[in-house]
Amino acid sequence: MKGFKRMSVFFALALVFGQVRLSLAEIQVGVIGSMTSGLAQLGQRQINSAILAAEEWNARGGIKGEKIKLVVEDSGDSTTMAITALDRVLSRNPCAILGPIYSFQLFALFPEVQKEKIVLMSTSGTRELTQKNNPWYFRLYPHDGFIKRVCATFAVEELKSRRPALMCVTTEYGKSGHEILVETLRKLGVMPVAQTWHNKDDKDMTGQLMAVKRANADVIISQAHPPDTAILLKQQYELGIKVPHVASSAASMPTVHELVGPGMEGVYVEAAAEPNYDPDPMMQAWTKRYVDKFNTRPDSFAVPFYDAANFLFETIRAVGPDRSKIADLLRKNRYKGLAGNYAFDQEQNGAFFAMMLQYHRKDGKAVPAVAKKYDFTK
Amino acid sequence: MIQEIISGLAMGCVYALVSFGFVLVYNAVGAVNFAHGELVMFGGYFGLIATSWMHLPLWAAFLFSLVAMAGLGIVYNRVAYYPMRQRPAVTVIIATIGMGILLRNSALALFGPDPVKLKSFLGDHVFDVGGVIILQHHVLIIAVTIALFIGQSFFFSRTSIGRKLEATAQDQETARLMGINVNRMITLTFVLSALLASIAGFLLGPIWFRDPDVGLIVILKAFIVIVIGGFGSIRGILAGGLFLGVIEVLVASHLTSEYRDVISFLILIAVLIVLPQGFFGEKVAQKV
Repeated sequence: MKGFKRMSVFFALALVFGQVRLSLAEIQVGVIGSMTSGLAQLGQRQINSAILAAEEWNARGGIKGEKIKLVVEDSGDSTTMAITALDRVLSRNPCAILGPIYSFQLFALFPEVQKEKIVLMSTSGTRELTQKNNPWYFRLYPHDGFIKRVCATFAVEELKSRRPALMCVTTEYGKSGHEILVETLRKLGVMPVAQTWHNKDDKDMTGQLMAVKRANADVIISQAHPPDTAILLKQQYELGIKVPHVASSAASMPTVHELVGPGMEGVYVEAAAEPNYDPDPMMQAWTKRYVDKFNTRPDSFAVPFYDAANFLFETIRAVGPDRSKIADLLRKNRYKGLAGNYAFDQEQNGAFFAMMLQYHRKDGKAVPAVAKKYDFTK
Repeated sequence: MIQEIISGLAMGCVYALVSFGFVLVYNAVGAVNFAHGELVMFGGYFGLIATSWMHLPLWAAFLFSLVAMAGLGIVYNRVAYYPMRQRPAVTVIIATIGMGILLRNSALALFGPDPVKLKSFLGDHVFDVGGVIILQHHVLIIAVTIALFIGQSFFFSRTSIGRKLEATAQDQETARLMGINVNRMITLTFVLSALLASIAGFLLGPIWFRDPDVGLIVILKAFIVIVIGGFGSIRGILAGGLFLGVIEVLVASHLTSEYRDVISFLILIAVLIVLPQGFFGEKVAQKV
C-alpha cells in the first residue's frame, strides 16, 4: 500500500512537471479558419499564412527560446462549427487566437472570447465587427468603412461615374458594404441608379445584370464573395454589358481569375495587397516561400493574415504569453508588415491602406496594375 | 424581357435535367435520393479528372465520365440501397444523406475547396440576335434536354428493357411475379440516374462553377422542381424546371433581387394551394 502511494505521488509529480515543462517549451496560439466547405478557399490560405509565420519564427529559435505551437481548428461554413472550433482551441489554453475571416463566424465567437478575455485577431472587412465594443477583437484588414469609401470615391472621381449600380451579396459582409457605398456616393452627390442583391450560393445573375443594364448604369460596384463575384464578372462579360466594374477584394483571387477568363479584362479590384504581382522584392520572396511550401498561390487576404500572425508573435515576444498584456501592447504598438504599416485606432481597426488594381489579360492570364494607392495610416 | 426568358429557359432545362435522375430513383424505389446533387457534382469532377489530369479531349472526357458514373451508380446502389431495401423508406433516405456527406467530403479531399470550371463543347461563344445575347452553351443545354426527354419517352414505352423498368417502378411485387429481375432493374435505374447526373454535370460545368458544395444547391432546386411539377412525374419536372428557371430570372430582374427566393417560394406555395399534386402529379389513394 505504501509503495502504491509513493508511486502515485511520483506519477502525479511527473505529470505536473511534465505539463509545466510542456507549457514552458511551447507557446500555444489558436488558429481558427475554414478548412472544409466552399469557404475553405479563403480559410485554408489564411491558415497557411499562420503556419508559414510560425515556422519562420520557430526556425529562428521561437519566442525567446520557446517554440510557437499553433492549435489549428476548422470553422467549416457555420457558426456552430466556429464555436466548436473555439471550444477546442480554448481547451489547449492558448494566449491568443488568429480568427476566421468570415464575420458571421466572428460575431458568434465574441461572447466566449470576451468571457475568456483572450485576443482574437482577424482580417475580416465587415464594418460592424469593431463597433460591438469587444475589447478583445483586433482587425488587421482595411474595413469596409474605409475600403468601400475608396471604391465609391474611385468610381466617382477617377472613372467619372454619375450613374453607378450596386450589386451586393445578402450576407453581413454585403449589407455592411452596401450601406457604406450608398452613404459615400450620397456624400459625393451621386445616387445609385440600380441596387441588386444575390445570395452567396446563387449561380445565375442574369436577372440582376439585366436590371443594371436597363438602368443604363455607367459603372458597376460589387460587394461579393469569391464564387458569386466570379459569376457576376463572367455573366457581365457574356451579356455584353460594357461598363467598368469595380469589384471587391474577392476578385483579386487567382481562382476567380481562372473562372472569369476573358471577363477579367479591365476589371478594377480593391485589395490590401497583391502578392502575386507586387514587384517589391520582399513580397516576391514571401510569395515564393508560400508557393514552395503549399503548392498554391496566396491571395490578397493571405498577406495581412501573415502580418497579423507576425504582429501577434512580436507582441508575445515583448510581453510574454499573458492575454491581458498582449491586448494592452497591441493597442499601443505599431507594426510594419509586408502589406503596409499597421496601427490600431480606438475601435481596434489596424489597417488603413488599400490599392485599386486594374486587371488586363496577358497570355491568357489576368495581370494587375496599380491604378491608385490610398494610405491613411496615422 | 426576351433575354431574361431565354436565360431562364436554359436554367430551367438544367433544373429539369438534374431532377430527371432524381425522379427515376424515386419512382423505382420509393425513396428520395438526397445524394443526387453530389452525383451531378461528381459527373463534372470526372470530366475534370479526364481533361485536367489525363489531358483527354472533351468528347473523350465525356465518355470517361459516363463510364465512371455508371460504375459509381452500381456502387451507390450496392452501398446505399441494396442492403437497406427491405427496411422502411426512411432508412434508405438516411443512407442517401450519409452517401451525400461521404461524396462531398471525398470531393473536398480530392479536388480541394476552390471552384473550378469545365469547358463547354461549344466554347464561350455567344449569338447576338437583335441585342438578345444567347450563349451557345445555353442552346446546347436546351437541345440536349429536349432530346433526352423525347428519348426517355421512347425508351420507357417502346423498348423491352424500358417497359421492364417501368413495370418495376410501378409495382415491384407484380414485376417480380411477371419474371422480371427486380434487383437488376433497380441497379439499372441507379446506373441510368448516374448517367443523367453525368450529363447534367457536364452541361452545368461551364455555367455553374464546381465546388464540393454545389450538390446541395443542385438538390434544393431539383426538389422544388419536383414538387411544382408533381412528385414522380417526368413531364412535370420539365414543366416545373422551366417554370422555376424563368420565374427566378424575371423576379430578380423586374421585381426584387433581394427577395427573389422569397417570391419564388411564395409562388411555389401558391401553385401547391391551387394544384396540390403539382402540375402533373397524380392523386394517390392511400390505404388507411
